[in-house]
Amino acid sequence: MNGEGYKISEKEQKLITDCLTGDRRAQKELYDRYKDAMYTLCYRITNDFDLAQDVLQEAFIGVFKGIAGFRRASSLGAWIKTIVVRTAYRKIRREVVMTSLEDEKQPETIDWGHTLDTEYLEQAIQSLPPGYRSVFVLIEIEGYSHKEVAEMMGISTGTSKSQLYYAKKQLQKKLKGLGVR
Amino acid sequence: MMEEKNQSNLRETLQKLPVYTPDDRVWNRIEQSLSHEQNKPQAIIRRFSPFTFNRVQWVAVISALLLITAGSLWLYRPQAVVPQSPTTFSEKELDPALPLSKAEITEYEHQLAEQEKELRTCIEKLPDQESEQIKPAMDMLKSITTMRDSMIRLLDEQGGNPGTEKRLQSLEKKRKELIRELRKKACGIQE
Repeated sequence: MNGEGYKISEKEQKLITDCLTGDRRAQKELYDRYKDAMYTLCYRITNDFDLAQDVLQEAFIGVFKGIAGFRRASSLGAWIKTIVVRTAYRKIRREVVMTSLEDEKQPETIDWGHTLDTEYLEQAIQSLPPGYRSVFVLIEIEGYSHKEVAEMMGISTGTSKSQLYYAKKQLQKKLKGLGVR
Repeated sequence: MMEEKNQSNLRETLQKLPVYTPDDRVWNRIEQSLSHEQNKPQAIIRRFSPFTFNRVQWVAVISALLLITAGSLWLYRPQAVVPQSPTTFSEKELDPALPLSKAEITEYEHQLAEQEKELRTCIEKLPDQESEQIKPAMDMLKSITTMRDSMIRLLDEQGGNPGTEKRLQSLEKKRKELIRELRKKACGIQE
């Protein structure tokens, strides 16, 4: 079958098999392996540590219940990440306002400069509106394509592009406001 | 469209952003929820774990084991005179928990394969809506079968391992149960 050919290591295969049989130690091992990365992603999308923990919990319960449906179309980590992103996005969906790029007339140049401070950048990202922030995090940090983001968030690729555009514009403005550049 | 300068600088800084660790209580809550789910009776997919046995079930299991042990000791005691009886063949289904010798696998597999074939024929005859309802369970059956095949391959390549064999038996049991439930639902066969 197409899409079932993603190579996974023998160790990971065993972990999946054990999780499938409900082996609690294997489930904990899987959780420990991905918890930090997924929790950080949850936080970056929700901008709330408590909500991020709720999302992480809900997402991993979904992972363990649905692990039989893992088709090896991607790596296990990528599959888990998709579940985490969808769960996180469901939580903030109401707050998200999507804007269209059509209103924008002038092309613009954004210069990120030579020095960017991680602390200020984190602060600036977290101050973005939820829609901009989610798309920015998924594309620029997590490396998803506009098409993938559009599918996960149920929006068009055009909307995804416009969200990223506005996110970057606002980010630069905020960084200037913070006195970074 | 928008142009960007020094984009690599942004990328590098983004890679250095801090990573956070969730509270340990998150795992505890996940574990609680999974245990709660396991205890719920499910229509098609039932989970089996000896850790969920209650006291009465444990007593029943231990009593059965004691009876089997006592019976075996009596039957195979030195110079035992076992009454002769004509050879008969059991029509019972093979127990998946039996040791997996090749001959047993073949016969057991044949029986399950026949049941699975029958199940697929039944599903093909079902109306679209009903066959859609059964699809997730069929997907799960497919995954379990794939896992089972991988484990058998692993056992063949690396030799016997009590842990893997135990897991294999557990998977096999789930597979058999799933086929049985699906046949019940799709073909109306009660066993």
